[in-house]
Amino acid sequence: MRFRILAWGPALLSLLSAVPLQAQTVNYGALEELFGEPVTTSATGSAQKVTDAPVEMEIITADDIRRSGADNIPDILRFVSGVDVHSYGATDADIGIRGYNSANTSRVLVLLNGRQVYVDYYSYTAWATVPVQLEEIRQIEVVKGPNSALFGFNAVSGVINIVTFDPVHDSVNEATFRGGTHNDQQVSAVSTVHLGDDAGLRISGSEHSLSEPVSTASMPASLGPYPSHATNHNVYMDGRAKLANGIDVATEFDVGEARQFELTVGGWPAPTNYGYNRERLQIGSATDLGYINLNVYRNWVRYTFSDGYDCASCTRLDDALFVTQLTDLLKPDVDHIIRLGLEYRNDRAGESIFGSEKIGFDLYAANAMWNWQMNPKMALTNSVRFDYMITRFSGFVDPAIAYTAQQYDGVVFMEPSFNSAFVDKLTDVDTLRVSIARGVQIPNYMDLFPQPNAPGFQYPSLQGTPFVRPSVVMNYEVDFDHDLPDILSKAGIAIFHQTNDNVLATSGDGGAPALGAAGSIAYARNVGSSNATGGELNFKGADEEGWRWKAGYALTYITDHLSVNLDPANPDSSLDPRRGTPTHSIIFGLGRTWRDFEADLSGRWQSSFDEIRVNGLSNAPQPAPLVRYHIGNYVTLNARLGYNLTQNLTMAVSGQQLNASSLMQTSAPLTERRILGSVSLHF
Amino acid sequence: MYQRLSWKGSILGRCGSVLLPALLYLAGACSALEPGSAWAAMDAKQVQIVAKVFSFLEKKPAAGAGIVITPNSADLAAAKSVLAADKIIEGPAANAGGAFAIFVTSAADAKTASGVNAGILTISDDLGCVEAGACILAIKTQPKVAIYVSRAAASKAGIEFDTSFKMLLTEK
Repeated sequence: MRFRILAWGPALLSLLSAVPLQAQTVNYGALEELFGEPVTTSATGSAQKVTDAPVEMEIITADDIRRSGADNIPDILRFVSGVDVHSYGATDADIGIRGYNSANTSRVLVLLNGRQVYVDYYSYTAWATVPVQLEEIRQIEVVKGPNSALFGFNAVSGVINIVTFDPVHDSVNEATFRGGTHNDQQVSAVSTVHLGDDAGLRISGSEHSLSEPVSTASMPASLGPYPSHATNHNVYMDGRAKLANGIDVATEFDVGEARQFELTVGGWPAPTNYGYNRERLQIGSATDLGYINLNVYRNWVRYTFSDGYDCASCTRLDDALFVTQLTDLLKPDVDHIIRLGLEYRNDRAGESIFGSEKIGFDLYAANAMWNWQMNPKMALTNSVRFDYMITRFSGFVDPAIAYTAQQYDGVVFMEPSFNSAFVDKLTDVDTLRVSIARGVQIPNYMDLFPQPNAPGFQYPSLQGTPFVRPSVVMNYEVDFDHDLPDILSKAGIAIFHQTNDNVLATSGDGGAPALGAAGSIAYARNVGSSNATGGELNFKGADEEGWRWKAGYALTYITDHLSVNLDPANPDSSLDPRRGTPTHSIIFGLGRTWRDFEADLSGRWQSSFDEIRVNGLSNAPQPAPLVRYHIGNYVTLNARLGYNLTQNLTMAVSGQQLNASSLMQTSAPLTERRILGSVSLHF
Repeated sequence: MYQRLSWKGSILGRCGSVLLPALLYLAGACSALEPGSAWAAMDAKQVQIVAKVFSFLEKKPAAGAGIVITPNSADLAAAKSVLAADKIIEGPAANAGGAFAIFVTSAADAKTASGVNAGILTISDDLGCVEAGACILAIKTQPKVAIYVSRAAASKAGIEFDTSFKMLLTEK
């Protein structure tokens, strides 16, 4: 393959020089209006109609978001088939796609306008730090299955790309006040300023506070006191311009703080604080070599967890990620689209918990995508990416740990990823998609590096291992979509088989010796393989009278070949995919718009599953057992009623989990019914 | 299993190498399945789409530049409704002089217009006109919206579209 790419070089260069492209950033709204369906870049990095995308994807539109009545993204994604949401606290949630969900899951990559908001140090998404307001989201793109070949490591279960409105082409000016049960108080605002025809700036911000359901009655007392409230505030700016010389410039900046109870990696409960800021600069221009885009961003997050929020004995970690991406998108002839990319990524963490130590990695990657429109009905898309990653470690390693500083430094991973898909529009209403993909999940910092809780620390010691290997996911899939114009609906079926090798058990996943007492050590390790087989059935539609409907079913059947949790009665790790994944889930939705009223009802049923978490932990040496919790099958019903009082004023009331005042959805505290009222002023 | 890629003729050939061996059978069966074509006046929906396509032109039309509607080439009322009525010029292709776009019903009209105004955007309901490289733009709305552009004709006229739009249209 390498030879072949080299051999293409001269031919490509000659083509590039002959094929100038003009460009600007993707105008999602105008393209959707033009083609009558959403447009995405999450599948290949090139703009595509959703029905042409070579991946199984679901798009949640701005209308879907508003009518959901939800005030956060995880509660919206709960009603996507194949998506599994664990709500651990008032604002803490983890999201899995096609199984394998757990606290601080590493398997779903979350992006905001294509830049990651997923944090690299423990490899998860802290949803409370995603700065976007629901009102400024154009669409949420949910890609099911690996897409590492486009986005890199950790896009193994799927990708969630949150796309905001474009401040050049779209005007979002709205202030929303929400209040409800659990002392819920929220205010958010979004405003857009157009600077001529070719530039715009959107600014948003919010303040949110609500009661946490967690208490020492439901979680280990020794890790408390737990916070009485979750709080969150942030500011986000998104500016874009097309300069007179044809150069596109985009900048984003966000800053915020969030405090919440959360279940962390391995099922450890913790009161957590986040402080964060992110900056991005993107410059693109059409050249004789194609549309060349430089994307540079920096994410900084301070992660603090403590016995309460006073930080008297807090543990703090500062993490800074710096990413540079250079891409070239070109259409050398009428049937071929090519995207070439280079990426450099640098992540460093340190400060209080590591003392003078610094941990991190440097990553170099190259990727290529080739879309071939074989004929008007058939297309083949191939993406390939190669990552070279090297760990960086400097500082002290406790002699009781089995590895040296030299061993932790300079660990190299070289991994290829690929996606290959064939799309055939069999008829005007039928589309067949066959795909194969290889995704890679890298070990996180807890897996790779020595941790501060060394022997002698108050808790049992959980340590990384320089010899732990990435987990490799292979996905084989067939999808079939069918339009039903007579009943204004679309139906689809996806069938997949997925293999997971070198499954990672982070040191936080425990092991009986580790959690037995202070002074013992547990190391991260690869614990075997796990396979998943399943699929999704989807059906949705809408008519001109304002009715809309949706239904879906997802099956995820997992078989484990792991060296942990061999005895279900005596868990020795929180890693338990087979029993930890609900095998069946059903979603449905029904709504109606009538004059100035909107009414929507959504429901979800899922089968039972188990979750294992730490149940007790003390500052004194004593057992800290892992306990298996059985979460029975449950139904949750959400509803929203909205009324437009005037063109500029909307009132709504929504309810989450209306069918039960409290419900066991995870091993964390019970999830409680929420009722929210809102007033939105459009200006 | 892998065929050698060729850059001769149509790049990579119509049906050639694939990375996914399991798909070779399907790929081998591929054939050009072009929709049928016939001359007809563009209906209101097509005209609305044309109006939206104008916003993806890299070079904005000069102020005052008109749009020529040749006889029976488009729904005139719709054109006057969605395009600026004062820019509509009803008449033959020979009137294309000061216009930036023209709706035509024949390749001959398209050639006439291009002869009068080399940079004009020629628009037709007929896909065959685009395939022949006489017209630049054709629109189909059934069963789904499809936009066809002749790369050669567009290049000859110096007309360019933005990159994201270009990735979504069908070039001939």
